Amino acid sequence: MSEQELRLSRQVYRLRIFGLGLGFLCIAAVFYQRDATLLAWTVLAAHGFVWPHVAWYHARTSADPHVAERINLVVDSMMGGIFVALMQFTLLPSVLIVAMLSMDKLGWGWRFLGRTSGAMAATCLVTTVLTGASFRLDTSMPVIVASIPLMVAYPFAVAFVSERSGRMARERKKAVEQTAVLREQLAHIARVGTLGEMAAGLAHELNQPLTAIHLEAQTALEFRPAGVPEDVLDSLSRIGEQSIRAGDIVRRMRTFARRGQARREAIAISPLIQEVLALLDHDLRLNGVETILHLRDDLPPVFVDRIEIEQVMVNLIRNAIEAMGSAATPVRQLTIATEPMPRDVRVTVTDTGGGIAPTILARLFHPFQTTKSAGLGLGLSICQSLVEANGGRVSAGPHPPGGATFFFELPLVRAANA
Amino acid sequence: MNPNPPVFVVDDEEPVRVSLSKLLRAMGYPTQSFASATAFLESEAVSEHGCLLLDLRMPGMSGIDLIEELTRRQLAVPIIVMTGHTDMKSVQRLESFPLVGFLEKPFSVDQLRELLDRWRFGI
Repeated sequence: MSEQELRLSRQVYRLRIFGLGLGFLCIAAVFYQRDATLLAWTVLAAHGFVWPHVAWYHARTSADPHVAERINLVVDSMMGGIFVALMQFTLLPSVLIVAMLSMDKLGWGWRFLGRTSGAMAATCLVTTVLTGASFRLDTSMPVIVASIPLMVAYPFAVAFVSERSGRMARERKKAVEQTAVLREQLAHIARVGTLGEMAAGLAHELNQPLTAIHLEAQTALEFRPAGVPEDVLDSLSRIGEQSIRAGDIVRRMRTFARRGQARREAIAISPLIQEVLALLDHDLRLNGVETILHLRDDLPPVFVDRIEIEQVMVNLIRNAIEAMGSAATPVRQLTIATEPMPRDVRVTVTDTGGGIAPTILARLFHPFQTTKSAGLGLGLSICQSLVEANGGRVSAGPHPPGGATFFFELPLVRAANA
Repeated sequence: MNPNPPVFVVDDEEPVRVSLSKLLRAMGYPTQSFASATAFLESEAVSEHGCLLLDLRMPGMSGIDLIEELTRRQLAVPIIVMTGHTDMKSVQRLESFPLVGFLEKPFSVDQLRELLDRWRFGI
């Protein structure tokens, strides 16, 4: 959204100028009727000419539309002050109500209240002095009838304009704030992305020493030295095994961090889930989460991008771990199930954590919805777009005894090709 | 015929090179190792009937460059390729060459032994 778009629209300002012009004409009529002095006419002309231009200028130059709009309302109060004085303060209550209404659109504040009331009082005073109007609450029928159009038209005009511009100002302000938040989040994502790339490079570098460690250990065993205690041989073979295990972890990390074109292929879903679990094994153990698997081996292959679905699983499992992270969770069970459906395969991830608040449920997959202090609120939104990109659907619901259930369906090979 | 033909190791990583040489010797293969593809090309090992254990990613002349150079010179050297990362593009480029096989680092001794057996006995 560009800076220009963040400003108030021209339409609102046309309305404002129109309202001020109309008010100007009404006041001029009263002046004419009362044989106002030349000075009074000059001041009125100055009001009518200067203030719309000041308002226009502020709207064009102010960085914050909210502030510009407040200044405009102060200007409007001045015009209101002239009305009040000219109608011998008969209109005071209605104008005050209008002022309050318009202030309400932009939020209350003592300073703002003081400024608008001050502007109104000052113009009242000036007009009273210049036109010789007196403070006289005239309730005679002719005065009331004469002021009916003003009493009706002015509040409506001001309320309409300030409502529109107030709403727009609030929307623009929100947009400006949201842009700042988005920029921060983008920086965060960029950092995470850099870390991911570093991880890929690191994985490659780590592979070299790991290969060497494995080969060294195996070489030592290859010589089958006589007289070496069995324990030493055992240690050597363990070094060999563990370096391969480290290599496996590195390999998974690298595959996961790899970027590239989405490539859908026939994949068995259950082994994929096992791989992801191995990747998150450390997190699961650290948080004391018990994993219960209901993975069917006889499922037909699904037609998806491996990395993307791995990412979905990682996000869902990490969410589940975090949901069960609080000390108040007595049972920490992560249940992952795969089951065949007529046209697809359903994967269900269930946790026994705090569950999903009903108020969030509707917006659960929207971006930047987060209940975590450190989170971006992108995890589930990414899950949704990835699953949908692979021709599936993802949904969530509460898990009856407490906790949350997420499930998604992935298309079978023949269904995706059909 | 010599029951144990030589195996040449070409890898820029010194620790990998050293441990591979030791391991191959322990397995009974005469071994010679080279720190770069150019060093291998310039040596006499090129014309010997040995298996080449080749790292793909190396500074300067890469493993793929070496394979292409050997093909250009019409030297039918049996090659086992070691990849630090399974880069789809490099592997696709290698599809046209008759290689003994691939080893993804870190590989186990059994995987290496299997490929060496495949080379020697054509399994």
